[in-house]
Amino acid sequence: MEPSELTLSEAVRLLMNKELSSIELTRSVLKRISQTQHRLNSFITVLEEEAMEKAEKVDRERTKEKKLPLLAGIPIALKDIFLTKGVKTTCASKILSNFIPPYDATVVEKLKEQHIILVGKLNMDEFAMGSSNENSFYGAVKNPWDLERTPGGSSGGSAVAVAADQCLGAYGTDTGGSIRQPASMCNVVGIKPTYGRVSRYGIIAFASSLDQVGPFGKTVSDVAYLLEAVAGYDPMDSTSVKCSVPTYHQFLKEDVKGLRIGIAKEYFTKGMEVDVEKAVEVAIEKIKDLGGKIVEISLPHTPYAVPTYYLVATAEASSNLARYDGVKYGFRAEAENLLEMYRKTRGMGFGPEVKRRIMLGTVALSSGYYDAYYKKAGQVRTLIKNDFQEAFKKCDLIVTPTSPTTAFKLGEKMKDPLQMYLSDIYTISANLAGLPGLSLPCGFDHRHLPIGLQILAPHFKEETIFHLAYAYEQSTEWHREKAKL
Amino acid sequence: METARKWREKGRIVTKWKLYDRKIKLPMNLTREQVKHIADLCRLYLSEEEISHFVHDLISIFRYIEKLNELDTSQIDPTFQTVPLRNVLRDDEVKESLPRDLWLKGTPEHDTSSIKVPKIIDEVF
Repeated sequence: MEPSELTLSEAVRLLMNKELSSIELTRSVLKRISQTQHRLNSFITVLEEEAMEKAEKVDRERTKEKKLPLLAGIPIALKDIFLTKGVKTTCASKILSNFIPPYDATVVEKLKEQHIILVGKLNMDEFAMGSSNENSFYGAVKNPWDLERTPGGSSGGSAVAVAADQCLGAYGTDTGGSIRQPASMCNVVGIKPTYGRVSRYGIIAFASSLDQVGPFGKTVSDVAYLLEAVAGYDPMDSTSVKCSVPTYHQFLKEDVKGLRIGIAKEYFTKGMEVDVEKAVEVAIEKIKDLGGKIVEISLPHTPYAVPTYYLVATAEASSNLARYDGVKYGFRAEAENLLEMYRKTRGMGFGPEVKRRIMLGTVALSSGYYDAYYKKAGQVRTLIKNDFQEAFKKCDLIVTPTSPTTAFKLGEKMKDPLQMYLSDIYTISANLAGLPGLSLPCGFDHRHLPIGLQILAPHFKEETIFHLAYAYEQSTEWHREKAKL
Repeated sequence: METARKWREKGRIVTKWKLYDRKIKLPMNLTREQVKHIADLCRLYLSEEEISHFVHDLISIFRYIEKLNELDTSQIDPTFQTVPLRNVLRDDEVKESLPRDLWLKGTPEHDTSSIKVPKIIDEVF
């Protein structure tokens, strides 16, 4: 077995016991990247030299018998939306294709303090706008389970890198499902924490009331470690919450006696693939066997989540992306005057999906339409939030499918943007309500494409999610399967 | 855009609809002119072909968004953020900011101390 095939939890143990060196581990991971990158296109930037240098440093520190942080020497990759000082950060857009940040995101600083090895920056949908990772200036990312299919998005590169053993853990962001949906399509675990759990400082903003940073891992245990490493209050992010970070990996138990699991009928609708429905039903039975008590709940405003999101998120995005004007950083078009420079820079620098969403958002916020669009969406958002509040009086967790379909073919949904938007139908509500949500493997369809199970919890109850996720995972073998590349 | 003009004429006094339960008025006949206007507002240069595509896309998306009209939200307060935080401030202390030499070299065009951009003012007043 190659070191790159290890889970993060296994590697942490081997590194601590000095049975494996960080150099061996990093070398194995970099070799895997060079063997698979051209087929998967999951990376935008690979940091070979820097990673090997850092690995050497960590190994030297370890020989000094110093107590190192848990994740020291572990190769990790980051979605190219995290600002990394001195390392090109493009957000998969032409408009930032030459941008080198002068500072690190808080999350990146935290990871560097823990001596993780950054192996590269990962491909994504441009400005995190997309559900298939086809909207990238650097080309589409391919799903390792079928190279003619998408890995999901927008953190497609992150999901693929973990699924293909190109790193032992990765971080992405989730605004409408961009961690959970690709995790489900690539057979890995991903969590979007509660809004305010992880700092957004230094994360290129898409929709500021919805964005959250979260980890991808090969197992639930890995993701628990990765979340602990970055969660916590940050004075630089005024939306981060002063709430202590539990030691998530201590909540991993193998039975769920007493946990009340809510199943919402609105999440089992037509449009869902038969295999997905079957797999989720089998998973729910398994959770019952493990001691979970199934409770029927209702989230009646679920059908309104997607249109609400496409008003709220696009409105916030139109504001957040106004800064990309060619003045201070990034791509600048040739122009005779300032106004022309703005229009040409943005017209040439942004891809079609980004432009579509900026325009949608601009209409939603424009004079005469603000009340009818943005404010209305805000009101429906309250209704959706209240649905969950009511539901969580009857249950501790809600279990749903992560995505209505398994990985779809490249190009399949590009002609009709609305079709693409509907693939987020099960994940979007959690962002609107600010709730934590995790996706983990729960089976395969008849084409052997992965299916994901989503677990939602009340605000700041990630430990309960980890509890159920671990118990379910340990009672199945789904997470052990790897794509043949 | 029709609706916007009507509101201005009426001086924000609503006779037919409650101000906070205004039905979403689909820009049914979203024209190329309107799309060009939106593109102007967000400072996006669009080619003629792009405009055609976006007219089609925006109409279909707005048609879908009309679904929200099925809900009566007249008594509901909007939610714009999900954390119970208000007025997050820090002490009024002068702290270090990002030093100029760190970011100036990353700008598309600059001299020793400032960023250079194309002409802003046409005439000298």
